[in-house]
Amino acid sequence: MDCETPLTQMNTNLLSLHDLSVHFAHGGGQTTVVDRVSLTLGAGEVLGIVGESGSGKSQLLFALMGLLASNGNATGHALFDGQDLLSLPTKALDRVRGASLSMIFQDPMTALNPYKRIGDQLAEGLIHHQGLPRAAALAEASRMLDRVRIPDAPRAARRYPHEFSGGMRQRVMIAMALLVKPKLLLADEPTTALDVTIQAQVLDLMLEIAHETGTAIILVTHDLGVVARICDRVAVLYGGRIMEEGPAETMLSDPRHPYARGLLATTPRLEAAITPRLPTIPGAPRSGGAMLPSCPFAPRCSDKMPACDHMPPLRDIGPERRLACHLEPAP
Amino acid sequence: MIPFVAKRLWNGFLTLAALATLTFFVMRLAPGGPFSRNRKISPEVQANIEAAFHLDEPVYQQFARYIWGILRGDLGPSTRFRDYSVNDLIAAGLPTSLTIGFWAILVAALVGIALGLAGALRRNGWTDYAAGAVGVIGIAIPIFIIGPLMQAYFSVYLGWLPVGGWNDGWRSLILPVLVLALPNIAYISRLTRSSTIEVLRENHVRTARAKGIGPARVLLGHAMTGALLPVIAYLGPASAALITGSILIETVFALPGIGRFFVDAALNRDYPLVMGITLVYGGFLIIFNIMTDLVRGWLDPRIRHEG
Ligand SMILES: Nc1ncnc2c1ncn2[C@@H]1O[C@H](COP(=O)(O)OP(=O)(O)OP(=O)(O)O)[C@@H](O)[C@H]1O
Ligand SMILES: [Mg+2]
Repeated sequence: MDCETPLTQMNTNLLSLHDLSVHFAHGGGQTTVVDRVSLTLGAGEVLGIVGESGSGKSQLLFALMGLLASNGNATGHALFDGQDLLSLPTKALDRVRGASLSMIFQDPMTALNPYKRIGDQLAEGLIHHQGLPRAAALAEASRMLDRVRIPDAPRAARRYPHEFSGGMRQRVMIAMALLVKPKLLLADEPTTALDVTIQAQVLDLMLEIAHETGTAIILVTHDLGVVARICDRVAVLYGGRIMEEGPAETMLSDPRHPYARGLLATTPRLEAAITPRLPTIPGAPRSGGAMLPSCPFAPRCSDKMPACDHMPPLRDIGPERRLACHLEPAP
Repeated sequence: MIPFVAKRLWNGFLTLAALATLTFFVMRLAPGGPFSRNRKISPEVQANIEAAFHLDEPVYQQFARYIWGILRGDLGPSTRFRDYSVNDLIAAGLPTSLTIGFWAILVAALVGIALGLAGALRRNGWTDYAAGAVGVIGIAIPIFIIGPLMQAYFSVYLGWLPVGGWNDGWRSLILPVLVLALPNIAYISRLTRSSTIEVLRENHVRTARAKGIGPARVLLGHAMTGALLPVIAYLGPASAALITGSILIETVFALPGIGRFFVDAALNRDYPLVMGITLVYGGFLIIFNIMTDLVRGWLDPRIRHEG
């Protein structure tokens, strides 16, 4: 592919983000909701992104998919499979999204087209990207619906979204996103709509299908139990910035950032597969403002020091671990 | 789908029956009768005329006669145009009204939807401003002003088109159709624009874009249905109103449609003709409402399944 930029040459990762920021324009001003995020993801890897509501998780994923609202724009680079997603023209982006890059949306109640049979909605991607005849695509679709345990799949494929419960619709979304066998799946809280008792089951199902096709996953979740169970790595997002990032195992057992520690300290049992929403930390989350020079978490941080007026860069603090905090002395 | 259709047909029938009853009694309530004139006529002649039109019968009998007539498709004799039945008069006027109304609604729907879509897709582009201007003109300036203005310019000044009347084939059609379509173009384009903008923001359209199927398919396959549903809901009743004749248009352009008969009939207390035209209008309204419901039910499974 495009091997002219040195960035690409050096990169063997499936996805690498360099200083990805998302800004929204409004009333002459501009808000930054994702702030210089850099990350890498290897093929087949599962990366968890945690952070409280409003920390920019969804907008980060939308930026990759080219789905930001019309007043939004993304800067930086997002190299996926050798192409910079952020600078691709729509036509080229449309060869990537829905084919090698797909997404499960947060709100299953409204994410499906109410006027189309779900079978057709699933088949559409296969017909468009893989040139399958309609009948074959529909057969594939109903096979996939069966795999996500939708009862009586061939019949269900002929139904409309309003005939399904929220949980069933979320399964439909999962089936739709995985049907095209993407290289990377962006899953935005894929199990929030589900009954707590079956969240784990559906998540495992999603993981199982993804493993078969070698699909890497970015999983946005509020659930640290889920992170512990299925993620290889985890990034903690706060106020649009990555605070800490590393292998799930070591990060969860030994978090360094005060925010990450706060998250874990208030999580009762990490082993439990199911925990409710993220625990609360005193103070209010930073609402996206202009790119602040200070650490966004400082106002709520119990370890605040004068240096926090300048946001520290994300630096390596051990094997594969990165942290953006003044607490940890530079090695 | 069959109970859905049956239910609407039955409701339509009931509405029409109620309408027939209501017009009958409202007409009787109004003071005066078709033959109460200032001019004196001898009591015998008066009685003869009233007998000929069954006005001497008790009201319930008149009502029964009237309903029985409707059931047989006979709307009775006209009291103003004595040599004609109401059926004859409607048959004479309706084709003119239907023709003008049909073309007006077609032009309004096509141009209105196109302008609305163009405006929504390229907001603040020149088509958006053009549509906005048409909208302001079409809604703010009434027919009885814009009609004569167009006549003055296209017919009198340029001499391209007839000023009015119905004797110049398609050339007689152009001005009335345009003037009748204009306010509807304005309304439909605004409706289309706002509903399209709204639908394009919906989550399921975002899902469609995420599939990488291209902007055209996203629009036609996913956004269009939701965007057009409100437009269709408006088009149904509007079509009924347009094709059954616009009183203003038919007056301004001197067209022999049923709109003008209606004015004439109302001014002359021609009960049967007023009731007949009201029923025709009601009938069209009901039919178009049913058709609207069917189209909406066909497009939106949620409406269909609700029954
Ligand atoms: N079109 C927009 N214009 C301005 N600000 C926006 C727009 N869309 C989103 N935002 C802001 O971006 C911020 C991040 O939103 P985002 O949806 O990414 O949060 P999130 O981390 O996904 O939260 P949640 O867990 O609740 O889904 C929020 O403060 C939100 O208000
Ligand atoms: Mg979100």
